[in-house]
Amino acid sequence: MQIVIASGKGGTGKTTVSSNLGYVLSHRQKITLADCDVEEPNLGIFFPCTPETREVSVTVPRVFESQCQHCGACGEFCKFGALTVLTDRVLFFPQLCHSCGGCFRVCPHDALEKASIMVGGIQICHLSDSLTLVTGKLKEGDVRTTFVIKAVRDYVKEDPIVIMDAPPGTACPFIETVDDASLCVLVTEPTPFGLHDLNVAVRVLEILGIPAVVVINRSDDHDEIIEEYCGVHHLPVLMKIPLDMKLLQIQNAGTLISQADPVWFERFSTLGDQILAHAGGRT
Amino acid sequence: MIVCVPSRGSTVDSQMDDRFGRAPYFAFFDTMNDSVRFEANPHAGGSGGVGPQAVQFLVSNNVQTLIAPRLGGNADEALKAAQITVIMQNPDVTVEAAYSSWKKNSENSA
Repeated sequence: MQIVIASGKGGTGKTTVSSNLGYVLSHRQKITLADCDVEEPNLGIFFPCTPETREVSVTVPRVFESQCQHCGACGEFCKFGALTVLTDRVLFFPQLCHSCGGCFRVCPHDALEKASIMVGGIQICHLSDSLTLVTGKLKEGDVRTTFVIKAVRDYVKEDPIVIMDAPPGTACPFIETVDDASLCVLVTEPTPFGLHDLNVAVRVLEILGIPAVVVINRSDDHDEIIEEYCGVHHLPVLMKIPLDMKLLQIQNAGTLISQADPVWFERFSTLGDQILAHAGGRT
Repeated sequence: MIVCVPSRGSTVDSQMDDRFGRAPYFAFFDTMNDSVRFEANPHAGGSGGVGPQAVQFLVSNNVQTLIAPRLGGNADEALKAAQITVIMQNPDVTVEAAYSSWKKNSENSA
């Protein structure tokens, strides 16, 4: 079962929720934490370890100039401009290639062969008998985010309970992350910006048919802006995390609040129960 | 020789576009008789990689010289490989003025 912690807006506390939830639930069952924010993975800050690393590669074309008739079919087909067919040669821009494989199909002269290039990696840490951290890391300068997220998802797909830290936003990387999710936990903050991006995420999840629940972070007890919205959209608000300097200090020292404070351990334990119930798998 | 100028519109008094790959039109001037024709840029609204795609479009229209304001890295690389000469030009002029001023300069230096 995959539970995605997402937000729409960046910086609302996805990692705070996913790290504490994973840590607390791993005291009673086998949990995999998956960091799918592959452009800036940060779950590892709370779980330092020496990881096992695997490369993530994608297939790109390589041109056999001797075979190529410069007919232009591949360049015409490629919507991303990765192949530019000139009169006497073909230029390939690896950074523009989305590895769709279309050029191999349209080439009438068998002039393209499959080559592989590295776009990132996944790091695996067995933190305890019941807690594993899998982190996707996109290669610096690369843009093929979804392939690295897919590699993380493939690695964890057999695991019983996976808690995934999603990338911010609601574009392709988010959609790739939630693809198999049983439930999406949306972490938001009581600001107009938080509400705006929460709404965008809720609408995306509606289209994808994935149920959502809400956690309000940085709550100042005047969270009407979010609560009213959640009421109208029938979204359960499962937890509020207050805007509290003490909590921030614990986190900024690289410590989990549920590790430092038994009250928060209990709160995340209750949150875990509710989330698992909403996701359909009772504990 | 065919000289290309990225253009905001499809007439010679249109302003030159300040982008290359996303210019809505390309003006193709023929230096033989100073005639001009306009083609809509088929990749103007593309999601990415429009620079190299525009270069491919120029190649298929036999362009040898491009008058442009600024270029992205991919477009620049493709233009070099295609051996298309690039003339830098501030885009605050009409396409006709851009072409005329290039022609005057090239005749003077010839």
